[in-house]
Amino acid sequence: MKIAVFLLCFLFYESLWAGDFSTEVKNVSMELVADHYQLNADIIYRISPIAREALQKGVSLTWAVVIKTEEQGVLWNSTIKKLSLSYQIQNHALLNIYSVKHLNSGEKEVFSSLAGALNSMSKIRGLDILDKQRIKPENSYHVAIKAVFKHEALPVPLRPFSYFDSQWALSSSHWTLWPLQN
Amino acid sequence: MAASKLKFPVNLSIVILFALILLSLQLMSSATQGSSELSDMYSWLLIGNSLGSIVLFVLIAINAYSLARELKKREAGAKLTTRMVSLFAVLAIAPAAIVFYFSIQFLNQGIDSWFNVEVDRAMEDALELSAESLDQRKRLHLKQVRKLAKEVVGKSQTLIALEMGGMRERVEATEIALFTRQGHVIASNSIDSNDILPLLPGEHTWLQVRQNKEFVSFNQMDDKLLIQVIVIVEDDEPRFMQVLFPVSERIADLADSIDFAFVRYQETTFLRGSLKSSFLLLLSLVLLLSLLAAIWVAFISIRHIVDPVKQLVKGTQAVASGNYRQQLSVVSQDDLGFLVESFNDMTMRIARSRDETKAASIEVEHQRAYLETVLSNLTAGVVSFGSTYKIRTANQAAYRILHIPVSHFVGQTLLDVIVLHPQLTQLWESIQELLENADDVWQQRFAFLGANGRQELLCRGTPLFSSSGERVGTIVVFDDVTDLIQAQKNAAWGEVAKRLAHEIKNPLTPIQLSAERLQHKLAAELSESSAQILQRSTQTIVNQVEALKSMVDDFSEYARPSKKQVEIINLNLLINEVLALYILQTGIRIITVFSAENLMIEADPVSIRQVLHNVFKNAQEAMGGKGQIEVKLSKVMRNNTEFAELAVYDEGCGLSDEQLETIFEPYVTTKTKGTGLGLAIVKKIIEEHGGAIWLDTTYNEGAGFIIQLPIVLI
Repeated sequence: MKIAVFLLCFLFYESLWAGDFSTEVKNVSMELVADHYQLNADIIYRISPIAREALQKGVSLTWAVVIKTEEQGVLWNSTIKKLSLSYQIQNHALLNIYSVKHLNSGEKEVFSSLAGALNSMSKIRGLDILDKQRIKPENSYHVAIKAVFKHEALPVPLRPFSYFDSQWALSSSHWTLWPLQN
Repeated sequence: MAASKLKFPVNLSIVILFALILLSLQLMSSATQGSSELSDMYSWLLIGNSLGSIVLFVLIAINAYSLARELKKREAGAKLTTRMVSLFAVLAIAPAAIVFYFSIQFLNQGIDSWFNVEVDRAMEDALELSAESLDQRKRLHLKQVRKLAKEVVGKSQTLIALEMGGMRERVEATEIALFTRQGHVIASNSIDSNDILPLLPGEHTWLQVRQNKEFVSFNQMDDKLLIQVIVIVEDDEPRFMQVLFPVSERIADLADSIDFAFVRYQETTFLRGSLKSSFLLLLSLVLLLSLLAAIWVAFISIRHIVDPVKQLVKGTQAVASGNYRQQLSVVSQDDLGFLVESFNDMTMRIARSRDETKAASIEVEHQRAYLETVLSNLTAGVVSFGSTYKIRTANQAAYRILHIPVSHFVGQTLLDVIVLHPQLTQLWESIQELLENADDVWQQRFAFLGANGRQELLCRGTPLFSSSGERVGTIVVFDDVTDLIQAQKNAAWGEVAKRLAHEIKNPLTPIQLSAERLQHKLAAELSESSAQILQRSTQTIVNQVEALKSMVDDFSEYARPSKKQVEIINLNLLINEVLALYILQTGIRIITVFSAENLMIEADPVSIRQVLHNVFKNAQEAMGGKGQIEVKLSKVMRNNTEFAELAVYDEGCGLSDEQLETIFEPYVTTKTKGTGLGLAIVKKIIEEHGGAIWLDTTYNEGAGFIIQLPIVLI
């Protein structure tokens, strides 16, 4: 019994020590521009020490920002549109730069610092998410945003253990919802 | 048979299982190497193999539980299966564990050997060398840009714009641009005339520039490596100059190559621990999956092997419990299959032999039943005795004749029967004596007083001998000849009566007439004394002739059939009518106990009335005119027929043993007067009406007569 209590305390302490490295979605706003809803949001990426070390050692890290437009139902919501913006960040030790690759478009940007690279990934500005024509005035809609860390993009030996390590829990802990005004 | 055909072959299923496991492990191994597209499926393969392990573990657990239950129930083959599975598991786990241990050791050492200080230092040195080379280039370009920045100090924007092309060409740059403090483009010039807009620095770059007043970094544009240099132009109004220098393809390729190699090395170094854990996980999963599969297959295979043994044990138990038709299915053609075939052959032979014995036994039983049926339907009683004179069998007729359930005394001697039925003591003792002493066939007639009166048996005893000549018992056949002898006597007496009537009655009339004529003719001629003598003599002759006539009439009556005019009569009423004549007589008390319902019989009323008179008169005379007569009338069942039973009990002197045997015979009487035909006639009338009369020997207060007559259902 005492051992179990000790283990629980230890695990609790471990989780506190490990900290929260989940990605956060902030400053969400919606604009209606030329009958299109455009999304603005800031994604705050928090990189744990282990993830930072992995990045420094050349391991590329990948996130996908998933944006869903959902129609609210009585029992469940139905997704009417889903977008996914994938980013991959990688360190180049020789050139001492960080490259950010937009996996959707294939575009690549380089930054002289990690903060600059993360900053470029964090800004979502004027993203066209939905045509107003698809909105029914009588229904309610919302936009759900979540940043998902892609464990499967990690090197194979790291992959299975990353699922059980809080240092690799870099995804958003929840969906951030934002109502869509008709 | 159909089910066995449909059953999937065990060997094939085992091969398929192992093939699947091998394929899965091979896929996972390939995925681990990260050299194929399978690496994307790594996690799913890991989950799949883990689930496979869990499924196999559950299957093993179910099999182990089932085996434990079988062991608890002490089922056939359970111990053998347990022993074999345990042995197999130990044999599989021990070498696998050893291989696992050394593999892990080897893997750890192998992975560690990839890395050493020299290689680390060489890699870092190579990187540093390359970085230094590139830094020199960056410093050179920074100097050039600083110089250009100084050149534009104090110049107007228009002039700078005009000079920019020359400045760019002079430093062999790709692009040159001048920005305001806010980051707006003032002027730019590019080697590519199509590029109207220069490369715009990012927000973070501006931040660094504002902090450090200059910025040098590598950048990429259109997949080409560039060196981006930004310096502040110290003027009245500070401005920023950005110059992009190209990096030759050769340098870019070399840098890319070194960067790639270093990154791979660094990544591998970082993943060192994970790599070991990953291999350990993979190896553990391989070992676990293989062991679990092997143990499960061991369960199936051993059950498959033990099944015929189990079947044999069950079959043996079935044979031991008497099921000789037990046949086992031959699943293989190996030694066990041969054993099963031999077992089947053995049980078939035993079953056949048993069937033959059973058939013979049934035949014997049928014969015995037939014999019993014949014996039971015989009118003669048949009782067989063993060598120790104990009753072995007795047929139904024995009971019918003796009124004793002789078959209930099987296994007992006749002397044992005497204890319960002492009325037949004399008969049993006589037969017992003959059984013990007679060496050959004997025949003897026995008379005894049975439940229904006097009976006569004609007994014939035959000794039984075995095939070896040893005496094994005696069979006694007896027949009730009472009626036969009675009929013979009746016939004889009838004949006597007829002859008497014929031979005696005919001369009586001439004798009487002659005597009367002598009296008539000679009375006048003789003296008075002689006439008186003649008178007395002729009177004596006439009286005796009258007496003889009366006697002859009685005989005629006895010889004549009594059933004259048959009609349905109410016996209750008739008895009451007859009794009415006797009730009036003083000194006689008559008690009647009659059944509630009227008993109707079909008879000649005159004859029955005569019977009743004779019986009541007999009772009255036996008591000397004083005493009590009890008359009972009831309905009884005998041989599934309803009879009216009339019992008459008096308080007279009763009958002696000698009289008991002959009371119904003619000329048997205890009275000084009478012909002795009364009861003989009564018996004759009763028997002619299908009834019976006998003395109730259980009544000892006087004489008791029981008369039974068949009832007519209206």
